[in-house]
Amino acid sequence: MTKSREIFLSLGDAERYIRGFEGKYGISSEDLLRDPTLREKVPEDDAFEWVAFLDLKKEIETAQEELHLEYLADLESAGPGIPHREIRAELLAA
Amino acid sequence: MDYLQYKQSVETAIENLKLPTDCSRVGEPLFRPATLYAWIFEWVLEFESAKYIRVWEQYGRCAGLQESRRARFAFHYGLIPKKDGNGKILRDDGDPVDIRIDDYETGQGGVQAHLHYGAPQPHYRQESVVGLQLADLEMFAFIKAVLKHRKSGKTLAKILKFRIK
Repeated sequence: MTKSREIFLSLGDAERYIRGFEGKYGISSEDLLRDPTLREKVPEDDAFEWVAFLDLKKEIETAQEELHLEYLADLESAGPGIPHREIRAELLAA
Repeated sequence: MDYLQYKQSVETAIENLKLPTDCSRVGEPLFRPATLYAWIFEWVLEFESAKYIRVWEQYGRCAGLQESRRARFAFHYGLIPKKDGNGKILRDDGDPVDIRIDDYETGQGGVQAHLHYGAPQPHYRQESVVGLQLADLEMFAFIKAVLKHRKSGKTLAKILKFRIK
């Protein structure tokens, strides 16, 4: 079996990588994506990773949102008699 | 394809890869999954002749589908420019390059696959390259081409069957 390394990225990990690039180059991620002249100041391989982590952050946020929506739907379908109904009401109101 | 299928296919391809004796793995193949449909992969191979291969791919979810596609890639072969105190290769855009194919372009051009051949500049876009679809090049086809080039002495252009207009 091939020996490989596997690092599972959390939202916090992705954000740390992004902040690291922003600090290293003194450019915000928004400016990197918006301004081609600023992007030219970042070496290609770093720009690759930076944009990739922005994409991965979005993917994690989307997955978390989908999971949260499923959770809320489960709460709703469970009806009003379930335990912690105050929490349920609070979540549904959010 | 999802992450688990990708990981299995890459590990199998690595198992089947016949590396020459002057090639050593630098670190291990690195998988960085964020979800089942989004991940980064990176692998560096170093040779005794002070050259190295680095392959990097990013996959992302196809909109509205439960599967992924390659979003970006960078395949590089060239001289090792310098290393830090831990032996990590320090890379920059001006580094010497035998061949590099990637699909990230700074400036106004947006994302487009292009080729660097023999030097960091110029970037040859697809319209200048005949015989090879740059955006479709697979990671292990690139690695095998470099290994064949090193073994046979044939040019990478001949092995990958492209010419520059």
